[in-house]
Amino acid sequence: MKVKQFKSFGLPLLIFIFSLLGNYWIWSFWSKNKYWEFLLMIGISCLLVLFNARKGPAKFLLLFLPLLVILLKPGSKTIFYLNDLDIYSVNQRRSYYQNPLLGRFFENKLNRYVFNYEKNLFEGIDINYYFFATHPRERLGVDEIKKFPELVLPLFLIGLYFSLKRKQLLSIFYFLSSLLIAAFFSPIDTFSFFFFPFLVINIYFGIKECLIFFISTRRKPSPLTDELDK
Amino acid sequence: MSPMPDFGRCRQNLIFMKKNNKFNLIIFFFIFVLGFFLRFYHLGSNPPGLYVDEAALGYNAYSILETGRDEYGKILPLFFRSFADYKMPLYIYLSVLPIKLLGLNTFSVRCLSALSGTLSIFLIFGLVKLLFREKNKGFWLTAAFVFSFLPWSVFMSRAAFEANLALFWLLLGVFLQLLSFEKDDCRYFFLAAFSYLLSAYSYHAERFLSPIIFLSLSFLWLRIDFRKDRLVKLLPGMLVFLLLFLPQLWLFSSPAGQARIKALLGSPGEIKFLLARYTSYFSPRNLFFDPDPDLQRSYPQLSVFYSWMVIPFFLGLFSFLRKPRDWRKWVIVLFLLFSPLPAAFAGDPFSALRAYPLIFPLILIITLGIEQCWQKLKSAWLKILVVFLTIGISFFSLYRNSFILLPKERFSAWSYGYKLLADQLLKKGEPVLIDDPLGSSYIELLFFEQYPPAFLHQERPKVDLSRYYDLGEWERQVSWRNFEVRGIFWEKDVYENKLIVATPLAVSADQVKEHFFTKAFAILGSDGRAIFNGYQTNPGLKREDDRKKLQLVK
Repeated sequence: MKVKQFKSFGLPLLIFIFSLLGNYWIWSFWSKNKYWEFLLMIGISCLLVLFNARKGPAKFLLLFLPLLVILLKPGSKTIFYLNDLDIYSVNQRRSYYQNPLLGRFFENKLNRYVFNYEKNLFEGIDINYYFFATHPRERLGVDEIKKFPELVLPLFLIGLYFSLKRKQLLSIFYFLSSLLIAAFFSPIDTFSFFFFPFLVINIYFGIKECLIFFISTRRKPSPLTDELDK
Repeated sequence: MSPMPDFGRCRQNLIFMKKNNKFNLIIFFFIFVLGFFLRFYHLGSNPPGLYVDEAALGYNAYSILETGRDEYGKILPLFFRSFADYKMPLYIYLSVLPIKLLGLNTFSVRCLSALSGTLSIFLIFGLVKLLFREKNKGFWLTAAFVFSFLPWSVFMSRAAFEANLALFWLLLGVFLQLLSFEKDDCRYFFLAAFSYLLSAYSYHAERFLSPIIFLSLSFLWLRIDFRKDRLVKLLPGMLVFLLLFLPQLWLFSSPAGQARIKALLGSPGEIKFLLARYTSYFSPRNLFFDPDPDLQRSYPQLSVFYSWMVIPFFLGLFSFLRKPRDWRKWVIVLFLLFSPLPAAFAGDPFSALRAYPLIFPLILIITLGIEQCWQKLKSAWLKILVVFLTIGISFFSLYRNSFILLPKERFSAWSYGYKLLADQLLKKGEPVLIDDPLGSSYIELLFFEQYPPAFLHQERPKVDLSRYYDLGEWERQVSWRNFEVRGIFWEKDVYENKLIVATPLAVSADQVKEHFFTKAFAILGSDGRAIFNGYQTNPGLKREDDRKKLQLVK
């Protein structure tokens, strides 16, 4: 009985704890005394795992959590903030056009806001940002930190693939909603901790899938694989 | 194994094609014209200037045309020494014809690349047709359309990049190889082998990629259904390929080849850095937002794909992964996995040039994504709106980057100003020293001066032609007629009567005053600032000043 309980509950729990705590990122919150972020990320990761397989629209309330937290923490620099260099660049580029109207159409503040937003958005979906401390394209003036070991990258990709294949889209929707909100704030690192649960969940799924594959190719179907499969 | 074809759908497609054949042909014609226009419009003046590698390709082709020898005097070399980087020969040999017809100028050097890019539109269409038989003609046309106006392909086609020619041969090789598998005809396979060879002799990255793709696809085909007669059919083509590929292996092991590898690899670092560079070629940030960090290989504010394409990219990737496993899928996977390898080993953070073959599988994935988006949009009005918006944004950003920002912000990266400098120096009869410690700018002057190669062979410092392929190190000092290209020797040059040409950073205002230089001319960039200054030395005044200083010390 105990063995069966371990297989159905204990082992997935162990894998989850390993995914949650076996990375540099979560401990960087701790070491930088960002305790509330540390706890929030653990909390959201647990909620995502618990609600992931459940049906019903209630679980999608989770998607609004990042918005709520960001609204509670005002004062961060947004994409709408343009420094002197940005304004100089807009004016300089306007002067390239022979037709001033064309210059105003192509080079304006709105264009700059969109550029800033896209910059944050693409930094947020950069694989190297999470697994290689943004190497080889480190950003100027940003203290790049390594977030996850390189070795878990394949596990993350496997997990993501199976999440999509099984249409367990909660973690993906959560990531997209937090990314679209966090991209309003520059640099993306200000609120990139919201992406942590998405990575953890998919690494967890990846390990689970690999374990299932590994066991099922070596042995005949067993209660362990059945339980993990659930 | 290939899945069974859906005959019902095939017949439907066939009817659709017959009904709309003329319409589709007109659309394809427009795509081709668009691709041609984007590649050839103002080709001689945009990008501004002529990069040293382009000038080297052009002048060596000119030298071959005039004398049958390269710039060093080597008769019809297999690899061109140039700046000791041993350029692959095909671009140079094929450029002989446009230079013969149009003369030695920027347009004639670039037009081979532009032509390769334009013809590749046909190949993309043909390849997509072979790889996605189950799709309709709209899908194949979309892939060709995406390729025709993509920043990556347009940019690569608008300069003399050997990589663009290499991709053309590589795509033709894959196309012929797939055709030979489809028709079970070994003649196509033989032609494919030649096409792969031409690709390997066009650009360095394809030296690795072409044999990998060619042999892997052949192996894959044999593995699907191994028959002896199949092996016999493939064997002659494979043998010819391997035989004609041998010089590449020989160059690889020569001192020159080793020097080139060392220069490229630098210090490759730990395996995790290599892995990071490899994954960076799949990072949406590098593909859809950040341009190549090399200023000469990118638009100022446009990456290799348009940023909106990130959505079809992800949708297409998922659709592609869900596709049933068949050998056609493996063709794309092979391209995806192997294309970034040469670039990742070279050590650049992201090289749009070295990883150029990656464009092919990514276009297929994006086209799959566009198809998904198209199917998801139910309203016809919404479809029209989305199409106009995405195409409009794409063309606006291409125009802005290509014709406004690039000439104004990247002219110095494109060695702008050498034509004006050559025009200026042609009038001078006195000795001219061009300050360039790297020594590569000599080729620009030779190019724009159209200096007869036969004279150059006699006047420039001789290299030992019997060791042509072993000379890994480059001299960095070139002289011909009254010109010398090297760094300034301040102890010697200021005491000789000559014209010194240097960048504003190389000779400061204090140095001009100290050595009694007289400013003879200035070549201005498109921002109105000087790119080169010409100074006349004044040895008499300088010596007198030295004497006075010496007396003061005494």
